Amino acid sequence: MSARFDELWTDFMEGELDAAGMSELRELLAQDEALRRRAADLYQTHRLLGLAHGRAAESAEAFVRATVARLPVDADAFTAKIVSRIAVAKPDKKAARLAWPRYGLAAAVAVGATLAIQALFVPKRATQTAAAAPQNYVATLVRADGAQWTGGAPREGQRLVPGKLRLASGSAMLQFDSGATAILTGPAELALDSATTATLRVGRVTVRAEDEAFGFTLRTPSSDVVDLGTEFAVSVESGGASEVHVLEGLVEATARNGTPDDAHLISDGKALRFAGGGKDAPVEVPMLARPFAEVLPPPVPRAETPGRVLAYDGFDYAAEMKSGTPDGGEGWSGGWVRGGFGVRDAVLRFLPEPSLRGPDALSRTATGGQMLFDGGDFTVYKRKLAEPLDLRIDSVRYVSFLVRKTAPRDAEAGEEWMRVIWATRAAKAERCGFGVLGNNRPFVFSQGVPNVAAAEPIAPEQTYLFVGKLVTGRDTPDEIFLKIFGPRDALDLREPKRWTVAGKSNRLDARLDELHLGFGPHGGFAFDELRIGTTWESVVPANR
Amino acid sequence: MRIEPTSLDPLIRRAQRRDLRAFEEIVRRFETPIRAWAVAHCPPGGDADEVAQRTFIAAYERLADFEPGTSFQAWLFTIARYQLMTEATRLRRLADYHSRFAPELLDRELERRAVEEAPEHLAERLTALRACMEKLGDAGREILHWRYDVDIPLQEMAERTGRSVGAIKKNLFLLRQKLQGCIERKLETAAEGGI
Repeated sequence: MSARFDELWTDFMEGELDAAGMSELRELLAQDEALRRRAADLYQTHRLLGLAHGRAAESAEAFVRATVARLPVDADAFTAKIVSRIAVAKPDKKAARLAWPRYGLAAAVAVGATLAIQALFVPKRATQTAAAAPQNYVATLVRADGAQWTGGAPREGQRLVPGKLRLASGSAMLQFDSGATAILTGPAELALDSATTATLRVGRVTVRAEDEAFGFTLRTPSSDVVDLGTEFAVSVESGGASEVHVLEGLVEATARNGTPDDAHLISDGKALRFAGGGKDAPVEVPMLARPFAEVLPPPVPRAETPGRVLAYDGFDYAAEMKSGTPDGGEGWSGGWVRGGFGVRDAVLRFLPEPSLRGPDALSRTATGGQMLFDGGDFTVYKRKLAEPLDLRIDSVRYVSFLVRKTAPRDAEAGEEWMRVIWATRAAKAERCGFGVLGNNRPFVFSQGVPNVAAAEPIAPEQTYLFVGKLVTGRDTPDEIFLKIFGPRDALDLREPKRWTVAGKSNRLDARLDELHLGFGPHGGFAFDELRIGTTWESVVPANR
Repeated sequence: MRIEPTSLDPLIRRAQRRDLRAFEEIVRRFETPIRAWAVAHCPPGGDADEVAQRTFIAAYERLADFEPGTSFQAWLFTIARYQLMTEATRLRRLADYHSRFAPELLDRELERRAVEEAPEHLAERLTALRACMEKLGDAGREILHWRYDVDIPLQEMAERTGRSVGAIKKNLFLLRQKLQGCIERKLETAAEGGI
């Protein structure tokens, strides 16, 4: 009897129990109370095993964040609390500014007002709960100028997990996932604690925390500084003494060993100095910090554009190609090869002149010609990358391309008409990339997690620049982002603070050595200026 | 897993004043006991993390009702029980739930435990389980890793090890049974004042 239970139970645990087996298991349980208890014990151990194993265990912090993100934000109560404390502490003229525009604490998570939709491609894992979406990264190194690092040297664009950054010289601009931006000036040591908290052990940092980054906290050996406004600078001396200079808005600063009742509200134009040890009351000092805009690294173009273009195709080909493999551009191993499903006699069409007209800066470096697609059958063109996207290592890749929808056919949301994806023959279930749905909403795709689409559709007969970012992690999640620039949008000179679409974190593990350009029957379009590079600036050329 | 009330009171007071960071810290401290309890009592097919998250959300919404000086953990588990009942009700509304997903008597036993047994001991079980996993051999740990970390199909496990699917199933059953026995021994020893 027991052996039969063992067998049925294992099938049940593995999801392989058929209807007859289930009814047999029910009968066994009905006959024996001890067996029911044993079954419940085994079930609980099985479920706890799931929690005890790697991915679930790692997701403890993700669970905390996902939960906090779902909390209702009670702006009135929060405002009342802050305002009442300000009134007691310092009834000055700045209080009038405290009609805070909005509290983005919850909005910080709903980045870019994106819309999660069902995966268009068959997902590897059926569903993923909010809690299981790991978000181990806390910030991005957006820019590094003359930066010499001690210990690990992060690269521009790199996503950062909690840990220490030691900057020997130069400056580094960090974009926290909470929305706060910090410029670190070397020599300095900053520990990233979370998306909303960092600890400055020594050196200087200037922070700008607007709207949704409200509440960003910077700790030092002698003080805790909470942003209640927008802009402040903090410096820490080697002995631990710290100075807090407020450039704009309001900051709450507390001595390290103080209680919340000892908090000091510092308004703009004021500065306080906390002695090392954090015991004595702070003293007021002249506000001398340089505004954020001044410490901001000089705008691009820099003397030397950092990063490399890994692959480029300007689609400078003859008008029609019924056969052959167009192999222009650089950074590829071979030409475009027709593949995929339902191909029939699809003809690859090009318009030799002119190039698709994108932003001026882009056109200046463009080669003639564009790729045309009139919206026939589903067709995929594949091309081998000289430098694959390796999801097993820590890396950052950027891609940009121009798209113009020419046949304004509207279709169902699920019927995408264009996609650009990284794939490999070796692991067909591992793919990621970008596309546009039948309802003209651009989306990002990463196999196994739900797709995420932009809130707004793109318009037909308009040329858009798509700029994507692919983050791969050895031990950290893979991420995918998309920013779209319309004909009238100014180009971001550096990686933007807000992406049009931020995909769900994922963990893929393949080396994707092919780029697939996929077309559906739901809209004809022109495609041009495909670039893959290692930095934002390498795929978004600046005006020179 | 017991949380000292003295360290918790200021956090609760701050959270009651709608300090999100204070409440985030509360979530962090109770994440393991609440999640462990939820996964262990959520019927097959249910979303345990959803139960756990809803518990914290409901707690945040009702923080004003919490009486200082009483056990916050007990209060939180009371909310968790209600959230679990809601999830169980949702599942029962699915057609053929019991014939497709779970024997009714298993669900009933889980329900009984959720109501009658001390909720905090699930976190202890999780700790014991982790210690017991350490004692398994490499081969056993690998099978569990395939099953619970990377979710590899049985067929693939069989191919990787050069064994039959039946042998893998048996292996999984024995591993779970071994861990079950180890957990029980550990908890008994702890109850007797050992460890």
